[in-house]
Amino acid sequence: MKILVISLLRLGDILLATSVLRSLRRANPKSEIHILINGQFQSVAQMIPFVDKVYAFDRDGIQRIIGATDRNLLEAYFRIEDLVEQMQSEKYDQVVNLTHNRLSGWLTALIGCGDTRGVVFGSNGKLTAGSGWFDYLNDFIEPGSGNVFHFVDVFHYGAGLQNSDRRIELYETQNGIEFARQTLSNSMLQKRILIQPCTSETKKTLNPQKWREIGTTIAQSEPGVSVYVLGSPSEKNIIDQICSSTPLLPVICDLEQAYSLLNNCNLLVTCDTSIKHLATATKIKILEISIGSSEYKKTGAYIQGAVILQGLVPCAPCNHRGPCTQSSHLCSEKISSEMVAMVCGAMMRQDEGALRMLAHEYQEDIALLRTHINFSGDWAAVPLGQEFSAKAINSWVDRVSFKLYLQKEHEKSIGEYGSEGIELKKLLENIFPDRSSQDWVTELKSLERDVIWFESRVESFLSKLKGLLGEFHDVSRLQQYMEELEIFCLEARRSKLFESYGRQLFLSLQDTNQNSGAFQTVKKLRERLSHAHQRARIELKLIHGLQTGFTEAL
Amino acid sequence: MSAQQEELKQFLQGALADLNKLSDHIREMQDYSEKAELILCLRELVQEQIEVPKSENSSHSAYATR
Repeated sequence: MKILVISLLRLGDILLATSVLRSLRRANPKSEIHILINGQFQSVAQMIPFVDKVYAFDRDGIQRIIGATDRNLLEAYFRIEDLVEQMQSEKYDQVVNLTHNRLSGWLTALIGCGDTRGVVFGSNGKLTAGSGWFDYLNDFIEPGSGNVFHFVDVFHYGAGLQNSDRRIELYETQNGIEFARQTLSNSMLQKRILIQPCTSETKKTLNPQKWREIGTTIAQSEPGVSVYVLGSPSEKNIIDQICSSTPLLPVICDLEQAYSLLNNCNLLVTCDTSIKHLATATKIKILEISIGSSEYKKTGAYIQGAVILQGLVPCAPCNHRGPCTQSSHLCSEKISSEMVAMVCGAMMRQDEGALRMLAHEYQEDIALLRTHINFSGDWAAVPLGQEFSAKAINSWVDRVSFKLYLQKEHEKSIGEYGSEGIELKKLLENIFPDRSSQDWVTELKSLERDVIWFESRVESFLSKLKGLLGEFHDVSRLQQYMEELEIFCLEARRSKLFESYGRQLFLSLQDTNQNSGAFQTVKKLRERLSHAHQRARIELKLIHGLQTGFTEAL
Repeated sequence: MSAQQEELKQFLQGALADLNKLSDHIREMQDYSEKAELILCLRELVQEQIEVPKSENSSHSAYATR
């Protein structure tokens, strides 16, 4: 069996994709696994286990041709054609496209394979995702759209992989091992903290002066700890600016060397960087500062026990495209050097109580979260010090119900409600450790009432839709129905509890608005409303399970 | 914007307009042959070049080259 994985985004995305490569190898031990990545990242291939062949898409070269007025676009066309021909000759049995864009959809179509997972254009020119999980990714791709699943989990479920061990594993190279040995030789007996300040987009990081303050404060508050500031050759000027006249130690290195350094240090402080993903393949503790367009829920450190610190501002997370739109970088202003140093100290001492106290103390400015991977392998960032409310409880119930729905558990005779429900109860008790069983029963009762109300509203829209089936000649009835549904969607989106439903229903209205036929409109609406209805029923089952659990404890 | 950048922008917008016409024709004719799909790939890359070059779909990364 020959399998191709396509990852045509950036380095961090390739590192996340390695988790899927590992799972594919475990599920198909005798298979041949290939990967298609952007050519400029080819050097990372030697660190990736489980891959038999790497194909490079010369995106830089092609973009150079496109961006030169004196060159013919056909040159770019033929470059793509050459690559496609090579890949067609491989005759893949399965193609897993982890790149959610149109270009990769066309490339997947061109490579040609009967079994594709992820976006691909069909012979009718229509884009399909091949799995409800990839459809989910499409619905919730925009920043702040309420996405709740990590890319690694979506990729696994979307590719039909069921294993719960989804960790990222990489090879260490001799070049890296030697570099780390030499660089760290002066701090053999000391603890070591690494700071990776630079990110691919400036709005995703703090300014150099703040990094300088953070590094210096950590060095002062953690005596006996060596603090290294990491950067690539192109980042040397910024690294020097941060470290000059401070106890901070600059390190300029490549990716392999950075990986070996991470393997030999105790704590990494960084933002949304490829180094963060690299670190998840080591045992180093990770503090991730999530600001700007960083969306920790999608791309947070995929490892148990990392800490995420997020600046709380209404505009975050912002869009990747374009610079920060605020008068100043508000999300970074919420983060102080003292706060970061104290979190680092608590992490170094493994003091969970201190972390919770810091979360409470700074709750106006930041959210402090701890990453968690449950028994099914699903990743979540769990807030330390979240306020106890029906909304907070529901955000977790909603997440589990979404997963069960996307996994089609409701279609199976024996679903995973029981074990997922038990796991959910444990998670909730971990987030709200001080609540009595009575508190839980009261909040769950209130939540149950709201979900029953919502479910009945969706049910009524579904039955009204049935009535419209024989009335296609009366356009005004369908129009009126659509208007009523739009109002309901808006209510749901604004509500504390049903935002995710509102978003999906709203998207279906947008879809149908672009679709002229009344029959198609009704069909699509019915499909989406049925989804919402089924999910609400799953949510109710989970709430009933939780109620039983907490009532028994009374 | 420099004169050179302006010239490039106009050149790319012209190329994209031509590719859009071809794409529309492909859609109308429902001709999704290999050549057609290659043109649609090229269209995506030209559009990407016009939009923000360092968007999420681009490939910028500091550690890319050793």
